[in-house]
Amino acid sequence: MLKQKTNDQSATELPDTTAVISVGDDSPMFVDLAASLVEIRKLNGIMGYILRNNTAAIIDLTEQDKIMEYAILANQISESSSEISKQFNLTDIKSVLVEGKTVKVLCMNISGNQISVFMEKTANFDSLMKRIQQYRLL
Amino acid sequence: MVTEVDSNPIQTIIEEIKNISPEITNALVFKNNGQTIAYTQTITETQTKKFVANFASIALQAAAIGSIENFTIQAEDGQINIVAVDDCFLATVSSLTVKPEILKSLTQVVVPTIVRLVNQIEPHSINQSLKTKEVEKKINDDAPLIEKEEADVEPILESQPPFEPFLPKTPISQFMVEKISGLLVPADTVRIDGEVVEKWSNIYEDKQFNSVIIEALDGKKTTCKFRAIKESKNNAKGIIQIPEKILQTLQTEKGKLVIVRPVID
Repeated sequence: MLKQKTNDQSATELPDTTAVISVGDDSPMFVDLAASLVEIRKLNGIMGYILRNNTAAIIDLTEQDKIMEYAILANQISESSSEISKQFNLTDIKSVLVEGKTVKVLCMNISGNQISVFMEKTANFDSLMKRIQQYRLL
Repeated sequence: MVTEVDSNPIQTIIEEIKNISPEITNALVFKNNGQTIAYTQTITETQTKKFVANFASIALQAAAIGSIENFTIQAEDGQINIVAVDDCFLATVSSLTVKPEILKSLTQVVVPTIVRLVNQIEPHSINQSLKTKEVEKKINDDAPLIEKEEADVEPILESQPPFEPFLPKTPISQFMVEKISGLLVPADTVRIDGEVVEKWSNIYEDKQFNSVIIEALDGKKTTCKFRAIKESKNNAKGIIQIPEKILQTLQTEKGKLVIVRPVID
């Protein structure tokens, strides 16, 4: 069942307007990634993120009214990118970047943990990509 | 044999890409309604259709981020890049050894410039060539004779899914599939997000609609009766509940996306 996390339950303080929804039990890798994403969330231009695996999920997005749309989009990017890659015999996707007219989404899969970071079009994602990719090496 | 499609300038430049940069193994250009305009000989027609259908699944959801301008998959052994050019998309598959400046030049300057030029000089040339090919195919298949003018009315290839709503008068909504079962569930009726049904009712004040056309992303369609879901909005938002029989007809399943539009009596 979905539960709404209050700010004092979170590891770090988040703006009052932010929707943080979490569900499920967390594995150590999931917890590490969640902590890293909390830090990434503070960077300029980052609008929020979705972190999920088979048993747990965290959604932290500024635009609460778009949570559903963003969640469906993130899921679709993950599924279809995997299909497209298979079609061209590409193995092990490192990242998927989808740039829209207003927002861009960076999706990565780290050991079964699906990460989708939503950011403003002008935001620099190189540093956050490196930051998340370090977990691939662990 | 040079066909109508082969002779278009976009096809020529797409074939040439591999000579300019052998690291680019595949390339294709397709319209935002799913029509393929040009593709390298390294891709089969089936691959092309599957590729476009998969991309369409994402594009349909991308309204939330202002539609797709650029799409990149980075893998351990290669990358796929899709760039929007006017009403088309250029897709390239390349190895990691490709020189970024050449890839950028080809995908963001050379091909887009040619696509735009072709669109400016002959706005309908691409559609025309596809239409002609379609008509020729129909005649060759000994299909009943149809006048060319009549054939020109429907330029869209049926086998490819339209992922940009292009029928402004009929509201087209997209839903995520949920399976519904039970003794009291009619096998010929789907249940749709009540909020959407209400919007349809507002648009068609005096007209009746008791059935809907459901289309899966691979183009399979069916018409069936529907009922509105009257549950809490959050649970039903964007959802269509479909009985097993209709799921089989559409060859779709829970979690997949379908396009739905009302049938106006």
